[in-house]
Amino acid sequence: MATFDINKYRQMFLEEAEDIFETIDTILLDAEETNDMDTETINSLFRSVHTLKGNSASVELAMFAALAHELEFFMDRLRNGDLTFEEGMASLLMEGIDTLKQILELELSEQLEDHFYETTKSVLLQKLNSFSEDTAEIAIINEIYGEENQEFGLITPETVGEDFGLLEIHDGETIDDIPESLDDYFGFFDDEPTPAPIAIESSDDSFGFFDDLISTATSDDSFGFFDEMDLKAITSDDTEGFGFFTETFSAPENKIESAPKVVKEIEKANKSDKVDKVDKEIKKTKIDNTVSSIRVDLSKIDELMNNIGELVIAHSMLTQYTSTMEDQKIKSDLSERLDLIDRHIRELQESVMSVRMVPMETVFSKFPRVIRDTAKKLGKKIDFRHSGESVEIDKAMIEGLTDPLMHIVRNAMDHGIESSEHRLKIGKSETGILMMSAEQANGQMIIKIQDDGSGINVDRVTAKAIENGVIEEHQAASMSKEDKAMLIFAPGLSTAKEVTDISGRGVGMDVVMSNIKKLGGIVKVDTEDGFGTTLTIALPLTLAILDGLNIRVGEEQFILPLSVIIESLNPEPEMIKQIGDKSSEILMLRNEFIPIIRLHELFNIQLEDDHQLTDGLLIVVRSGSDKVALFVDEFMNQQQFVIKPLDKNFRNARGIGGATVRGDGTIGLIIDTMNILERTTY
Amino acid sequence: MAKILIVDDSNMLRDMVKYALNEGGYPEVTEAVDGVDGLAKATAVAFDLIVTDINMPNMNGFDLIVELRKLPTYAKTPILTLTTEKNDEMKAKGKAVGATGWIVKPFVPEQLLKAVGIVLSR
Repeated sequence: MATFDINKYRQMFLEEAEDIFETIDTILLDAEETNDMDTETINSLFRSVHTLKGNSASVELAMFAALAHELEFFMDRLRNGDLTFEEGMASLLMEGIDTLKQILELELSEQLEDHFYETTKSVLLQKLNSFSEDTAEIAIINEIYGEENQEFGLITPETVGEDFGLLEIHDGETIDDIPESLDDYFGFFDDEPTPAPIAIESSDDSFGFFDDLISTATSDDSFGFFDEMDLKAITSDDTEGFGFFTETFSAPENKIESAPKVVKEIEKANKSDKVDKVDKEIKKTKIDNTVSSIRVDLSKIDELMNNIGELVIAHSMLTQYTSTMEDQKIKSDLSERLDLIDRHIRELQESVMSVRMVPMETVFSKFPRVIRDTAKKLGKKIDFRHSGESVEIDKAMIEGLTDPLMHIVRNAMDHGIESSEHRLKIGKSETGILMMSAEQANGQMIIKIQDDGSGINVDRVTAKAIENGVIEEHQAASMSKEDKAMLIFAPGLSTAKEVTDISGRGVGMDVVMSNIKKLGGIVKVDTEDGFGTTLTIALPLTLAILDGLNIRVGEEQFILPLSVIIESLNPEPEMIKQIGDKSSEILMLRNEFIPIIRLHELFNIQLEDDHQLTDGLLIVVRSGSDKVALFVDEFMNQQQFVIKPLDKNFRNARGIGGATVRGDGTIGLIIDTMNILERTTY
Repeated sequence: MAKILIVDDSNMLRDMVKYALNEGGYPEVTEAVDGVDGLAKATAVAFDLIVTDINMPNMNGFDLIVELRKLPTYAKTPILTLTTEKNDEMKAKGKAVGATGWIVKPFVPEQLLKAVGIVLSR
């Protein structure tokens, strides 16, 4: 017999749970703000927790399911008017949801100890119960529902079945003693085997368990049939709408034959003239209007993308081969058809890309809760605004983006936005504003995080950087204000007078930078004393395809991402300065000093002696606000490349971030400017 | 071969039901994400059995069953509900809307197939 792959389903559960938690957070935040919760919202809340409960039980997360059940019970009371929404409830429910998350994590990692669970649960229950006087009632109901089945993790069929039976049928009573009005509830617990199941049983021996099922219904009621509830008590004249089932039971063999016929006849009738055009139209629009979606594992899309990549490569191989053909007629015919294929491949590529894209809403929605909690902890008032929810971003980037954004936001709230008292004193409004926006421009994703706080104290940051040995004093002298502000991203720098548990000692802003760089992004800081700070992050739209430039270095070719290139030039001799022991060279470009890197040297490519910088090209590239000039021999062509990750063993190769397969089947290495720059500056 | 429609807003549960059905010898399984989707799909194809969740956004399982029962094609088609609760309220409601039976979550494939086997052999 088939069994469920629990690990697979737990993974699916986690993905869904994350979405559900977000929905709940949004609802509760809103409720807290408006201090109200309408019926629809309560229903939605109930549904969310109910789903969490049911689904977690299905993947054998018993403790989580039981705790979810407690919260569900509370929400059910809200739903049926037993409790009314009051101040503090949203906050408490948020706490409850946090507890759920914590239990989930522990249970998944098998680190959940019974004692801890029991304590956590009882603390939460106590708080929940404080909203109601009827604690005794809750205790009873908890006892009924709260029994956990070791195997499945929820309400066992046995206990519940018995409990219900005991609740309603008193000693000495039989099913027939129950008043008519209660028939619905007890038809199911019929002790006597009914004719129908026996009939079915005798027709098929392999289904012997039917007898057990029906004759002792309480022993296994993990499923049931509504008509069984009627078998005994309901008479034929008051079963309108159920006649079919009763009939089925009385003569199952006949029905098996006739039921499909009935359906077919009805279908025939449906297809006949009786159904007029209007009806058909309605049906059609109904289907068209339904937005149905499925969840697909990202790796499957990656695989699809990979296959398209292979197709691109095969196509360019064919194109290359065509160019060697001598018969001009065949050559041009073939090229024409190849162009057509090229167009289709591009369309295919775009379609697959669009599947990977998700709206920024997915990212934004993670913030309100964090901001609320952080603001509460800091005792500050903060209004979070965001725009550009519908701007789409590569799903693969979200994971890498959320953490850095979270850190930036926490930092802005902790160090940027002032306390309410201070804000009032300096004539600002009491509530600080934190804005997050997303837009697409020039084939890039631009994300801005803006606060109206005190701005970065550039002098203090600089002093700290000098003190910590991040930069030398003389370096600071030549730095622009913007460069100085960028020092907040240097490792081990904190200017906050007090270390808080929100953003810590400034550990992390350097991690933020490297995470964003990993995504191929750059960060810019604009800060104005007393008026706040804006962080601008520019990211490529996707991680899968790259617009790149083929460059030649000696006999080798490399690919340089187009997005990092600022400009290129044939340097004049006077633009090049040598510093120190003449081992380093600097390009002087419009009063800016840019270090030069000879790619030949970096990649150990042999060249004839006396290779002059003026013989080749300098390409100025950036990573963050750092710049470096790369010395190459020649530009080749610009092209789209499908990025393939490097094997683990090669990931430490200096200056190389990935690879691609070229049209001729050879491997092309993609230059990682961030990696080059990291080893050049500081 | 029986054509079965699963209606559930949880991807995970749909997958579980589908897996159990496939393993149990029912390869023709269609999925719908909520009542509205389920109704649309059921209108397009005549299914032999519908397994539906109750708690769903847009249109819940009970409302779906009410709508389905209005259609001549589905007047007598077996409809099983997937439910976490199997209290009296659920049973009364299920019966009232015309559902055929219920399956309690969590379930094991065997239980589901047992129930499906019974309704399909009627």
